[in-house]
Amino acid sequence: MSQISNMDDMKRRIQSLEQENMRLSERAEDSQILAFISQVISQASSKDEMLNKTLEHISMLKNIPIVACCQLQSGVASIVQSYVSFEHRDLNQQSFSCSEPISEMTFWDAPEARLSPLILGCIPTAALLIPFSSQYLGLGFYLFITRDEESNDFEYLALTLERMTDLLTLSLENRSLLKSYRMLNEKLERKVQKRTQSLRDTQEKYQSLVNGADVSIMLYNMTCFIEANPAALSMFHCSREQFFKLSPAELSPEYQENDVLSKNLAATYIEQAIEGGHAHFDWFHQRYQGDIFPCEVHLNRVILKGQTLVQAVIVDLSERLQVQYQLEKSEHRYRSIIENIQDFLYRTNVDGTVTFVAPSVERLLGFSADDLVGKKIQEFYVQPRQREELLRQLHASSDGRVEGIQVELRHKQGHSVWLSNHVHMIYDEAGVFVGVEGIARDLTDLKKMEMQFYQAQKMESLGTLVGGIAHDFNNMLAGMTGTLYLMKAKLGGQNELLKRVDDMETQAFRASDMIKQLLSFARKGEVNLQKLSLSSLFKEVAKLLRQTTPENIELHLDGVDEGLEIHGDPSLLQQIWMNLVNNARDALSDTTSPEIHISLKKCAVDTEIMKQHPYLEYEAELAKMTVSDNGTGISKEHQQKIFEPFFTTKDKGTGLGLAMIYGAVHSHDGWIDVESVLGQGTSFHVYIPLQIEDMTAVELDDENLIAHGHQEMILVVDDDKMIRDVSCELLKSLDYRVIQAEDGQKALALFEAYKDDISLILTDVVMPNMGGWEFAQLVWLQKPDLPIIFISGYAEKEPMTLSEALDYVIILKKPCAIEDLSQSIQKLLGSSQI
Amino acid sequence: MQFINLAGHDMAYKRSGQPQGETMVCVHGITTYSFVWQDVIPYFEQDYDVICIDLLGCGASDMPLDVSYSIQAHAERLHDFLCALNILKSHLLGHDLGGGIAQIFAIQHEPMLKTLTLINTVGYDYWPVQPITALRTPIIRQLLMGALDLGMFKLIIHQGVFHRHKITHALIEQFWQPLRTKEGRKAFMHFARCLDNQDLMMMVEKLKQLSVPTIIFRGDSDPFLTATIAERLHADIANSQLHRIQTASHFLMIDEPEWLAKHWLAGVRSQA
Repeated sequence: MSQISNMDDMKRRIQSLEQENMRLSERAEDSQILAFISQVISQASSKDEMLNKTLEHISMLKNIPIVACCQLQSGVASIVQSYVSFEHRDLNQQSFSCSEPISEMTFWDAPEARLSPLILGCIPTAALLIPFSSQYLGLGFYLFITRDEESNDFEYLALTLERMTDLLTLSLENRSLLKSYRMLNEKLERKVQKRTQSLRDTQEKYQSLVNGADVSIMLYNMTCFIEANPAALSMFHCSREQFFKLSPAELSPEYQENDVLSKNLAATYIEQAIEGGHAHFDWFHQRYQGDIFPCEVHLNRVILKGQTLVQAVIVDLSERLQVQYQLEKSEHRYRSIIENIQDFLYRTNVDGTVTFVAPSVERLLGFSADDLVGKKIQEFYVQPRQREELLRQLHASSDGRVEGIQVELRHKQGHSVWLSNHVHMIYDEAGVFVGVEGIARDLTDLKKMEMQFYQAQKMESLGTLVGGIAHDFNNMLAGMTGTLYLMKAKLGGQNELLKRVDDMETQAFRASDMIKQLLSFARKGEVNLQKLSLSSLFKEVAKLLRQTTPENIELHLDGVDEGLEIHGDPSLLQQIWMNLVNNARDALSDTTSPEIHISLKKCAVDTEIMKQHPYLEYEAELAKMTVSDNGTGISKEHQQKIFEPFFTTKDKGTGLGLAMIYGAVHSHDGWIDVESVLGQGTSFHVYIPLQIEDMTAVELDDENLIAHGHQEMILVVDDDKMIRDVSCELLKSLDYRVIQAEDGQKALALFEAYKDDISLILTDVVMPNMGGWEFAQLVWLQKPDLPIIFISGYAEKEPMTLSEALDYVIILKKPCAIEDLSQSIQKLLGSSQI
Repeated sequence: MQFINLAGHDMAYKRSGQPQGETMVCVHGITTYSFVWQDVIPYFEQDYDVICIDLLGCGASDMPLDVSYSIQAHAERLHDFLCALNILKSHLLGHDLGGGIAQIFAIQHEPMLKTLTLINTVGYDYWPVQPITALRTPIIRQLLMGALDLGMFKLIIHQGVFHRHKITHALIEQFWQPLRTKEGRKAFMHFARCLDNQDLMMMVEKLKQLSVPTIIFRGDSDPFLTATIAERLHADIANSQLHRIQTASHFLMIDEPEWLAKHWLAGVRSQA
C-alpha cells in the first residue's frame, strides 16, 4: 500500500511539475507572443489592419474563439473590429447594450443575455472585458468570448490579454499621434518645400538676372571680392580664381585722370557709398592683362547677414564711347555736308527781276533773300554774257530746261562765286513764258580743287623734269669731283694750282648741293625717315635761328607743343625751317620793325582741311609748323608759282628754296600752305601728320678715313666714259687692280673671263643694253656672294631693299665722296674675305 | 486543377499521366496541398494515372469551418471522392497527416487499394492527441505561429527540407499561398483543432491485420515526427517495406523525388 501511496504521490508531484512546466512554458511563450504582436503592429500599414491582425493573432494563439474591440457610447457597445475563429465572418458594426460602466477588467459568466442581440454563432460560456480609453478609439473595451469547446481559463489569461490589449491600444494611440505628427510634419514640409522652391525661384531669377547682365556686378567686403557675375570676369579678362585673388586696386591703373591716385579716390567713393548708400562716378579700370578702359561705376551699400558690403555695378564705356565718337564723327560729316550745301532755289520773271529766292542764298552770296528780291539778277552776274547765254540755251532746249550751266556771280563782299545752275522755264496757265526757276549750287570749292589739281599736276611734271636733269647733272658732277680728286693727288706740292683745283671742287660740291635741293623738290633725293621728336628738333633749330637771324629782326617763338612725334628726316626738316626763315628774312629787308614768328602746334584735321585734303581722316592729328613775317607779302599771282623750281623774285635767289621745301614736305606726307597779303606779310604753314609707330633708329657711320686696297681686282661698269675713267684711276690710286666695261652686257663678258680674279664690282644702275641690277643678278648666278657696289644718280627703292637684305651689297649715291667709296670697298672685301 | 463537389463543398485535385494506367492517389499533410507532390509526379506520369488531391480546407478546395477536418472525416471524404470518380482500385500514397488518412482508409477500404504508401507519416500517439494538446504540440504550435508569420513559416520549411538549394522563393510562395488570406488561416486553425490521435490509436490493432502491400518511406532528418512511427508501422504491417534515407527531411518528396520514385516503383513491381 505504501508503495502504491508513494507511486500516487510521485504521480501527483510529476503532474504538478508538468503543470508548472507548462505554465512556465506558456509564460515564456506569452512573452514571445507579445513580441510577435508588437512586430505585427509595427508592420501594419494602417490602424484598421493593426487592430484586425492583432485580434486575429490573439484569437489564434490564445485559442479564443471570439475577440472584438468595442466602442462604448451612451450605454451602447459598438463593435469596431472583431475576429471569429470558427466562422468565415465577423461581428463588425454589431452592437449591444452595456449600461454598466466598464472601468476595469470585467468577467461575465454565461454572458449570452448581456451580449444579446449579437449573433455569435455559438453559446458563449464566458466573457472577459478589458477597458481602454484612447484618443483614437475613445472609450471602450476589448471583448473576449469563449464557448464550451475551448473552455478557456480567462482568469489565468487575463493578465496576458491585458498586456496584449494595452500594447495594441498604445500602439493605436501612437499610430494616431504619429499620423497627426506626420500630417503636421508633411504640412510643415510642404510649407518648407514651397518656401524653399519660392526661395530657389527667387534665387534663380536673381542669378539669371545677375548672370545674364551685360554689366559687371560684384560684391566687395572691404577686404576682397566675394562674388562676381560672368560679365565681370569677361570684362576684366580673367578666370574666377584669378578674380577673387585681386584687390580693387589691382583692377585699376595706378592713377586716374589728373594724376589722382586710384587707391585714394576709390577709398573716397567706397566711403561715400557706405555712408550715403550710393556713389556714381566715371572711372578708368584695368583688365587683368593691363589694358585700361573707361567705365561708369555705381557703388551701392548692401547689408548681408549683418555685414556691410559694397555692390559694384560697372559699365564698360569703351564701346559706347567708340560708338559715340563714330556718331559724332558721322554727325559732324553730315553737318558738314548740310552746312556746305550751298544750293539755293530762285525764281525770276522774264526781265530777270528776282521774285523769290531761298534764304540759303545768304550763305552763298552774302546777300539776304530780301536784298535780292525785286532786284535784277543780271546785276549780280560778273559776266552778264553768261546770263544771255543761259537764256539762249533755255529757249533752244526742247524741254525748256538746262542743267549744269556754270555762272559766276558777285558776292556781297566783292569776290566772285561760281555756281552751277539747273534752270527751267516757267509758264502761266495760258502757256505764256513768265520767267525762270532754278537751283544754284556753289562751285567755288570745286573750282579751288580744280586749281589745286592743276597745280599738283604741274608740280609733278616739274618734279619729273627736274629729277631727270638732276640725275644727269649728278653724273657730270661725279666725274668732275673724281677728276678733281685725282688732279689734287697728282699735283702734290704745286700749291698755286692746288688752290684753284680746291676752288673748283668747292664749286662742284655747291652744285651738288643744288642738285640735292632739286632732288628734294622732285622727291627723288635720299630721305632717311625715322621716328623723331619734332618738338625737340624745333627747339634745336630755334636756337640756331636765333644765332643766324640778324639782330634787327625780332624772332618770336610763339609756342611749342610738347611731345609731337613724327616720322621724318631731321636734316630735311631743319632745311625746311631754315629756308622758310631765310625767305622771311629776305622779305623783311624794307620793313621798319621786322618780325618773324615761328611756332609748332598740334592741330587736328577739320572740315576746312578736309575740303582740300579729302583723303585725310577727320580729326587725325597733325603738326603745324608756322613761319610768319610782317614783310612785303606775296602777290596772288606769285603765290601760284612760288613752289616751282627756279621761280624767284630775289636778285640772287636760286629759285630752289621753296621748291625744295615743297618736295621735302611732301616726302613727309604733308603739305604747305601760304597766306599772304601784300604789304602786310606772309605766313607759311607746314602740316605733317603725327606718327606713333616705332621706328628703328638709324645708325650713323662717322668713319671718314680713306681706305686702301691690296691689289684686289675691281670691275668698274659705267656708261659715262668720264666717270668710268675717273673711277678706274681713283681705284688704281687706292692700290686696286681695275678692269672696266661701258654697260652690263660687256661687263658680263669681262666677268666670264676674269671671274676668278674679280674681287668686287662697282657699277652704275641705269645703263644702256643691260642695267646694273640685271647684270648683278647674272653675276650672282655664278658667284652668289660676289660684293657689288651700286652707284646711282638717285635713290631707288628696289636696291635699297636689296642692300638691307644682303651684306655683300652697298648702294652709294652720286656724286659720292672718295672716303665713302673707299670705306665701302673695304667693308665688302673685308666681309667677303671672312 | 479540377473540382468535384462532395456534400456541397468543392474538392480540388490534379490529374495527370496515363488515363489507362493504374491510378495513384496522393494525399498531402497539414499546411500543404497538392503542390507538394510536383517533383515526384513526373516519374509516375509515364505509366500511371496520377491524382493529387487538395483536402477540404486546403489548397484550392473549399474551406468550410462547419465540417470536421479530422483524419477520420478526411478518410471518409477520400472514399467519397474515389467513388465519385469511379476509382475502385488504386495505389494510395499519404504524406504526414495524409499518411494518417491513408492508414484509416486502408483499414476501412482495403479492397480498394493495390498498395499503401506512407511517407514521413503520423501514426499511433506520437502526434497530437486532442485539440488543446494539439495546439501545444511543437509541430502544430510552430505551424500555427508560422501561419501568422512568414518568417516563422520559412523556418519550418527550412527544417522540413534537407537540401537548402531546393528552398526557392517560388517554393516558399507555394507553401505560403493558402495562408495569405484570413479564410486560409481560419481553415488551418480549424484543421489543427480537429486533429485527434485517438482516430489512429483506435485502429492500432487493425493495422496489424492489413495485408495490402505497404511501402513506408522515412526521411531520417525529419525533426517533427519521430522515426519510431515508421519503425512501428513496418513492424505492425505484415506486408510492408521500409525505405529510409538520411538526405531527406520531413518533405521527402521535395528532397529526394527520384529516390522515392525509384524505390516506390521497385517496391510496387516486387509486390506485383
